[in-house]
Amino acid sequence: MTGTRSPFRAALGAMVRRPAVVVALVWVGLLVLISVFPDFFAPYDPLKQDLSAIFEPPSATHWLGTDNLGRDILSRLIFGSTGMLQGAVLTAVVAVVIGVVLGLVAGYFGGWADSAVSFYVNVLLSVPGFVIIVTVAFISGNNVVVIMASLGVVFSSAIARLVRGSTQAARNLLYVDSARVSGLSTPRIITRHVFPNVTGPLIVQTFLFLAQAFLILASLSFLGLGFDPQSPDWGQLVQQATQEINDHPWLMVPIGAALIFTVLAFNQLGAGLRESLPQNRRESMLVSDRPRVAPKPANLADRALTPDGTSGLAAPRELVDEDLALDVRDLTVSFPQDAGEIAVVDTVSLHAKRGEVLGLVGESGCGKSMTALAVLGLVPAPGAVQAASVSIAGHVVSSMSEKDRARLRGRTIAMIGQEPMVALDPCFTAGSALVEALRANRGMSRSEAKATALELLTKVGIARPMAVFQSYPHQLSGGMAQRVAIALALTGKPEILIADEPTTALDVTIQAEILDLLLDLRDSEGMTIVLVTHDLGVLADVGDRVAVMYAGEIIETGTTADVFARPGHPYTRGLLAAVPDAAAEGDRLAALPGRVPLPRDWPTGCRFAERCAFRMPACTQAPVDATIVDAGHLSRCLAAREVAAISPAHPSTEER
Amino acid sequence: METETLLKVEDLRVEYPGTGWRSAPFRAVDGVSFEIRRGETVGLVGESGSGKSTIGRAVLGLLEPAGGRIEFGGHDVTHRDRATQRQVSRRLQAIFQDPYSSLNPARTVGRTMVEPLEVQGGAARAGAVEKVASLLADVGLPEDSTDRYPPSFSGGQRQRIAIARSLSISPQLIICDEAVSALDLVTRAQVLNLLGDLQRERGFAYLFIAHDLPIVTYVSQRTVVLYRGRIMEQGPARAVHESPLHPYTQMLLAAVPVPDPAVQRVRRARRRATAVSTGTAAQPPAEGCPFAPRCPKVMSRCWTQRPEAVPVGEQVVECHLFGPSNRPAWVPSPVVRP
Amino acid sequence: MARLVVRRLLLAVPTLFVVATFSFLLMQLVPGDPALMILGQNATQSQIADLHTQLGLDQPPMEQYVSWLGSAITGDLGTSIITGRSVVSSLSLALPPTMSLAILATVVSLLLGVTFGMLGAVKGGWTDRAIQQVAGVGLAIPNFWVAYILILVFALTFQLFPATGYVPINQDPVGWLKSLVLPVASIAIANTCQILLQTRASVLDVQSRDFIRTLQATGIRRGAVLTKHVLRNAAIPVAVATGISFIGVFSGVVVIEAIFNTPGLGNLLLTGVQGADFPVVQGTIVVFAILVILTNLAVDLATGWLDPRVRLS
Repeated sequence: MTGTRSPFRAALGAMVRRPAVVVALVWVGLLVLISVFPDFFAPYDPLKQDLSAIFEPPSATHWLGTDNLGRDILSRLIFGSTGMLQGAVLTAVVAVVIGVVLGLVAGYFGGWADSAVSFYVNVLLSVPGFVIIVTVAFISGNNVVVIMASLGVVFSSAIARLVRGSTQAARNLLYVDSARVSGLSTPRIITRHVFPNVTGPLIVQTFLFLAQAFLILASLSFLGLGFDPQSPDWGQLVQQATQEINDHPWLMVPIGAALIFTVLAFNQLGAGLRESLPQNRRESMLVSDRPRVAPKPANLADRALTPDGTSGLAAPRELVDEDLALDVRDLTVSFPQDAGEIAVVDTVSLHAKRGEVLGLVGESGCGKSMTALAVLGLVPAPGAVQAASVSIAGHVVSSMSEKDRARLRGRTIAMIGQEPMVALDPCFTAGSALVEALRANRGMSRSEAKATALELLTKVGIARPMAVFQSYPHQLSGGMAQRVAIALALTGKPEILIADEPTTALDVTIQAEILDLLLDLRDSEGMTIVLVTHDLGVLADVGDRVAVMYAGEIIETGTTADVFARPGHPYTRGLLAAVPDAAAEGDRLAALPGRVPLPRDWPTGCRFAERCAFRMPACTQAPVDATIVDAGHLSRCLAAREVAAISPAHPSTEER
Repeated sequence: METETLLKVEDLRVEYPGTGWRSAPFRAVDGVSFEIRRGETVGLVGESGSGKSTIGRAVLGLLEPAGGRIEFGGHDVTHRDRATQRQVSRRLQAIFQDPYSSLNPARTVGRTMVEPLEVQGGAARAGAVEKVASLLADVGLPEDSTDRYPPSFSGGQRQRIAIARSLSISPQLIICDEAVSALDLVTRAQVLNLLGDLQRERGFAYLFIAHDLPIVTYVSQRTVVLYRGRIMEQGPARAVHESPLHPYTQMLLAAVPVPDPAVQRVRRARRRATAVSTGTAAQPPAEGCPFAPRCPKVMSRCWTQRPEAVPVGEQVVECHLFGPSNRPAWVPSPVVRP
Repeated sequence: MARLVVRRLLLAVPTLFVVATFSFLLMQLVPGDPALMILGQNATQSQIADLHTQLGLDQPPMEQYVSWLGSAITGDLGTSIITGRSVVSSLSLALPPTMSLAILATVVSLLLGVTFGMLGAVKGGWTDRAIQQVAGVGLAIPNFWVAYILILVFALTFQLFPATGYVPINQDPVGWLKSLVLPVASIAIANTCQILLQTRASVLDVQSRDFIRTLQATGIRRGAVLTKHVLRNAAIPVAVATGISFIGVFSGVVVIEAIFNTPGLGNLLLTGVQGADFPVVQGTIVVFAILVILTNLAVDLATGWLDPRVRLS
């Protein structure tokens, strides 16, 4: 049963599957064992001298040799580990207890509590920890408990800061709001909903501090502080080894290895957990200069390809069409997963005429954005793209090297995305981004580029171009940032613009303006626009033609007017019926049952069959090919004509 | 249907502290008044920065109002301590926008769902497990969901869990703050149907907060249109949609594209003939109407004087076009609000 | 930006005050009588009383504190009990070696750490894994242990660099550099690895942001994306990590200066502590605190300069 493990437990599970973490766990486990039961593990008394066997190399009797007084080194290491580990654990416990309490109080309550804790953190961060610890060691008369507790206090500042940050973030989470609405008491909100968010990073930090504490403890005892000079703690062992370094360098080896392994093990545990926590895994957006060649995805059905490429569902057309700005045939995008290579876009064919707005529509998870990225050549690693052919404004890019292909981006084909605020580099002004792009795409001088940038900003409808030119992205509103992103896309005078949900994050009045701008640019520059959207209103507003995607396939294509008036696929019909209509107030919406299947669950036959009211036995037996509904209007449905003949799916909104 | 008032918000003001040192606080909600009757759905619609979510949070007790009054079930709940909050929460619940952060990923669905019952304690606690199972069935989730963690559910399923959670204590009012905005088209329709079915069965009221006017119109009996913390217009949902009075409502409505290419072509042409771009819009006046800089029908008075709420038919509009001296002849004489 | 600096400086004053008070209090906690520790067990009553008057220990603690703080503000940190020299002059002699160590170690760590961190993140695959493993081990090597290994190899065996001592830069720049190579290397190994891992993590994080896709779609070449945009954004957390590693040097010098017999602040502190020379210890702690506060200020300025969101908020 999936989903019955908490995310934190799942992260721990992922963590212990890393070989480095396993080795680290074994080492730490061993260390704990020998430090708790040194008498059991040590072959000799650590203080027992044998002047007849000094400086012996490793042998069967003394695995790690003997020191200047003939004492067994392994035994000394084992007995020395006890104090080291106790000290490190004490430090960590003090740091975590103080840090967590202060951090939670500061983060959850804010205000004065927050200011006080911030000051505490600031003061502690202003003293070099080791300097204080050395002083404390002296004052306390080498009391190791006091020393390590003080070190814990020093470390608590970092923990308090970490917990405070996580708590502040958690305080604004919606489920914390839900708990507050329910009237849950503050302590319970903190222990139940806030603290669990902090545990992952906290444990990571605790491991790193254990490593630090170990090093500091060893440094102290190396200086003769903190421990009884008689005890074989590890710093002392280094100190003794250095006395004989010239004649007996071997003595440095066992103690060095023990220290390094231990610190490394704690660090590995911390790093291993950090990388396993769910929020820390993100894909690179930077495309590789050597794209991956993938095997055939496992979830693709074998289809007979027809000569004109209709298998991917594009309107049949002449083989050479001068008017085509974009011509994609049998495009497949796949990602390697546990279950093998899995396609997310399956044998898609698309075309767009010059100056046309092609709408690519569907729900999330249908592969529409991935199709757009594949056309641009920006599928993130480890994705792989295969295609019979992809041509962009007459350039056949599917057979190009990545280097040649990169040259077309910006100049022949450009893109604007969904989140304008994060689409711009926060460290550079809008102006410098435009100047950089103009210099790269048009080879302009700096001053030419600046003048052109201001022209472009005016062109995208910005009233005060100079002010925007000098602004950083975080100073712009969403609508303004999207205009800058459009200006950026125009720097290379592209023939094709891919607009991936360009208005989804914007207010509806701003959306209208951005759509107006896109249509104006289409008219004035003759640009072809591929508009990826889930909004049927937007599609009806600006789309000339439409391709509907479902589960990685194009399932219907045609002119916007045809597809809206006579949807030839039950899914398209279902989409149109799901739009709430003011005229139908109070009625239930005709919502399709179920949801889009995940790529790994795609069936062999029609992928929509499971949710379809028109399902027939033939639907699930073999992949469904395109049926022509009208001229230029195709549907991947065995009942396409019947579906199209039913009266309009969406009662036409009356003219207002 | 009962007509008793369930929630009454009067002259509500909410302020956020200023961003800089000693800078003036930002007034997110500025003198908002509306009512919700038992079993009714009231839609709160506006763009980002309109204060719609802030109003919801103030009603939920998550924010301390700077002024005005919130009355729920006949009791003043403007300022509440935890005991009052617990009292109120027995009849008031919320469903939030982001299905990915509205459920604690580290707690099983079952534990999340019994939480409101737990807080109420005593009688509510008994039979919690059976209640959770039946609620999950009511919202169309499999029985084994109780032992699973939220990350293994889709966005739509999580929103169903949030709905089931809010129902566990039989509330009288549910605040839906952008509850369906993050969902896909079909999932959204499924959840809207569920919300409607549950309301018909159990008779609670919704405060439905959203930025999407057609959806608000679809679910609500009455609509309140907000702009920059002020009410522009309110009235029966269909009336506001079909004969919007305030220029802002008209602009909002004109900006929403309808999923019909033929109709939309006409609407687009009409909108472009009247549109004022925000690119040229100035800052809104401190006094006066906040919409003045973007208003196609702006008058000099709009910059200096705050419009009063004027009843026009069943609608109430805050606009100088409908002020005492400017009332167009064709508008029917005002009807006093019931 | 100016506001940021002013705010930070205003915060530094109370912080420094608290640290100074703290260092004073710490010395009050010294068990037993400092005079006894200095004079030895055989001191006579009158000798002890004289020393008490001389050190101001006959005054109530509050008055001692006020007078110490008053002098400290005017730049007088008292005189050493043992050497009788003014603490300020001892500190000013100890500052150059420590700062030489700290600055050299940080410059070396920054150059190597950023280069190899970037290399690992961009190359990926085996290069990345190898760099990561080596850095992990490097981070775990204790500086005092590696110091002796370096002495054994480069001073005792090959005799390339002196094993101990310090040559002031104005006496002999080459000698200065040679005297610092081994202590700097001892400190820089761990610091390099720390900066390396931070650089690698930051570069990977920046690569996953949306604007990287925009830049590529706009026609900016891969090389320019990496060198201009990725590096610039990754520099912000790397600046913070560099500040932390610079501050870390002030902890490291206590041990390292003892090993290499460098006459720096760390050595001054250690001899002060061992000799119960509390004016020296107090003074050293205050100077260390000032150095840390200045470093934090420099880091704040650097992040403000690198990150317009910090600068303009």
